[in-house]
Amino acid sequence: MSQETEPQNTELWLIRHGESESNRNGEFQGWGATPLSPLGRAQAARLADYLRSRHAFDALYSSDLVRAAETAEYLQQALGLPLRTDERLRELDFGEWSGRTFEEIRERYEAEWTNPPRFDPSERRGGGESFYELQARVVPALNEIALRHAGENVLIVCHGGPIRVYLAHLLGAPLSEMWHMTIANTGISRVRPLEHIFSSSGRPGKVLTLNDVGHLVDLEVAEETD
Amino acid sequence: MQRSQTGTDALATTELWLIRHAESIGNRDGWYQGQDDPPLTPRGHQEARRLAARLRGQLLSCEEALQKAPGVVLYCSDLVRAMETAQYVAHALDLPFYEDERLRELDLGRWEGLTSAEIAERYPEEWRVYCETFDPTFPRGGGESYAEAQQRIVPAIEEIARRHAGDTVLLLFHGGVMRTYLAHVLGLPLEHTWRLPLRNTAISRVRPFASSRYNEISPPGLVLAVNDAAHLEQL
Repeated sequence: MSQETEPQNTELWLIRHGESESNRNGEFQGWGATPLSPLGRAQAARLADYLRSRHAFDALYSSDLVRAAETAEYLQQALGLPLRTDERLRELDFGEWSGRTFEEIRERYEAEWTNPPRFDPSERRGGGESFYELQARVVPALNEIALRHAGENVLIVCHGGPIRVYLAHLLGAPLSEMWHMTIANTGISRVRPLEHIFSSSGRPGKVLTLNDVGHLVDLEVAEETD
Repeated sequence: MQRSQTGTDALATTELWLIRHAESIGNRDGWYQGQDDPPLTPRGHQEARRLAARLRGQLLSCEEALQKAPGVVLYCSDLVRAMETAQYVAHALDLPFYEDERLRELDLGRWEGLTSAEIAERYPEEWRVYCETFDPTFPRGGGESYAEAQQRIVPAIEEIARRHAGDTVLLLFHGGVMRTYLAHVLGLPLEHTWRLPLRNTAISRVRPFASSRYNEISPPGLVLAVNDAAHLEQL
């Protein structure tokens, strides 16, 4: 068996969608169905070129939300892989906060909003999901995909929330600290989640890169919202 | 090239580019280096050239395109493998570099110069305890523990960053201490730092005084990227 096909070398390339219209307007999105902005399309095209020139991939998955699926379509075309969507990879459900700006939420939901903001991962913002609930949904989904593709390199297009909670899981970091990680539009985070299962050393998974945006050099890297 | 701004806004935009040295003889031959002082290998020199070319392209083209680029400054550990790497970067960017002994790698005491097999043979009890516990307060080889190294490196990096508020600060140093700094910013327990492997010449970027607007209360620090080694493709 070659190095690349050892199950412990299974790699997930976790990619955040390109800039959406809501990102551009500074709105919380959650499960909202906002399409990519023109900049988001340019980012997705850059990402597709970059991935094609860099590496061979075996499978492509995406969240079923429009901004992720549109980004994944660029990769599907560039790489010639079938695209499988999985609703478990969706962003955090922000409930009533979806479609509203940071400032609007601060005004309307003052009771739910501490000032200055203090992050509590057990809080259900806007009546949606908590970040603990998101982690309980995303970790089994990504582990299942990794096991199904043991020894392969798999592209996963999803969202800032799912990527952060999965990285926190692999790193052994508490969710309360997840905002110290920046995940930019089309940023790539590359992980080996199965080392702990198959490696004789018994060591858990590794994070090989966090938020690689080399393909966006000289293109605008928008500040992230959610 | 230094165009420092003033005030807290400038502090928040200060960006650290944490860069691990290129491949050294100890890396190649698989022995623990710590503060032992081997030079780069031929491959290490190649990696350092790639790094320097990349930084030149990235930092100088940004400056021309944006007309608002912050100043760039370069610091490095005073160990040979870091200084040799820094010389390539300094030349490519036409910058001086400042040596700082606080940026040295962890002191590994009597483990320095030995491979893991040799340590296991000579110091079996020490080796067993460390491998079973990954205890971050354990001083490997009677040198420095990860916890002690973190207490040394965090204030040193923050002091350098404050001195260059608003600038891009390149810090060329070592993987072990760099991971303890990243763990500090990420809120990661020190037991888990080896889950963030750092390649020779890989770049990790941090804004040490910036905060996410979702969490203005917790201590500041935003990690922008970890272990970006795109310049080593096809080497």
